[in-house]
Amino acid sequence: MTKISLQFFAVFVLWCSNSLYACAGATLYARLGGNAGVASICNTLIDRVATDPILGRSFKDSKLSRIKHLLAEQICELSGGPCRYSGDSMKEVHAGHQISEAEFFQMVDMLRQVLKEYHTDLGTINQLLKLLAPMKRDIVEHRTRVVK
Amino acid sequence: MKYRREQLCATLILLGVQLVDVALASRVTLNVKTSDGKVGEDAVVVFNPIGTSYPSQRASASAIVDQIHKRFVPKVSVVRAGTTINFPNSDQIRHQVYSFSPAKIFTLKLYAGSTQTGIVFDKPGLVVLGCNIHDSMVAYLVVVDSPYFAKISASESTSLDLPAGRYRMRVWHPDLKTSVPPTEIVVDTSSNKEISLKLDLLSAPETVVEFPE
Repeated sequence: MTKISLQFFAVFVLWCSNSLYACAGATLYARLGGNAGVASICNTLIDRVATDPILGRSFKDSKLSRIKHLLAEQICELSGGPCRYSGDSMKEVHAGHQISEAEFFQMVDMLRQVLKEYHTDLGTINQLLKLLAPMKRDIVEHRTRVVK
Repeated sequence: MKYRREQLCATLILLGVQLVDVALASRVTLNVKTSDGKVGEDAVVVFNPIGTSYPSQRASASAIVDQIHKRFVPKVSVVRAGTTINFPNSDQIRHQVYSFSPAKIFTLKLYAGSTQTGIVFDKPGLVVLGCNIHDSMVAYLVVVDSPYFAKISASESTSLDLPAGRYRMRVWHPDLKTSVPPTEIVVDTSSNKEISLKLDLLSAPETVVEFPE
């Protein structure tokens, strides 16, 4: 019995992850693969950005396990999952790192790539990015232009 | 006029007490080396008088452990119990200082440009400081119950004035291979004293030895 229901579940998950319409009722969190899915996405993304020649500088000497955990918590909460983000505000987290707009967009691209690799459909990807987009103003540091 | 004479009298007595104090103290030079002959930088040496009392701690004593380029500066500090430590954070990014050491358990969030009240370390013992955000940051705070202590510097010879008497001497270093047993030393006023110590250190020890009780 358990075996049968597991098989059904597996079929459902596969079907679900491949079609947005099939699972229109499922939360974004579920479509990202729930707890395990969100954790894998965050682990892969952070490992990749931390070793990236451009983005890596902001992660130097940092405890990656903590970043992965907090990012997963944040995405879980944002996407309707049963978590509460326990970290600092985006402004506090990124203050002083002088993150440029180009770096921000590069990280977005890398997240998009990771999501594609996890076979996330385009609708789900866009829905998540739309939730993350407003954070740009707290992450990118706008240096005051010196007028001569 | 009478008042002035009393005042002068009091000053002279105070001066006398201080002179006696200095006269009965001996300059002790600490010659601490590693087994390969280098100066035992950051070694901590603490002297506890045996059978005599010592001056009490100033209530306002404070020291700084800063955060500079994702490092604690200084890496090793030795302070008396009751000292307030301030963590100013000279970095432009945030840090999160923590300790799980029994002598003081705390977490302190530090943001760039915001001032934090210091933390009072009221119990003697070794406090290992880390940063929740940056793994490689580590610092050691040796909180002691005696006014007589020194930290070995690489750039200059280390010495301190000890009143004549018997002391229990404790030695510690973050890279010690095994803990150094406390020893008893005698300070007399007949001559200056030199204490030579050789420490067996590891380049990156897995565990830090406790500061001796």
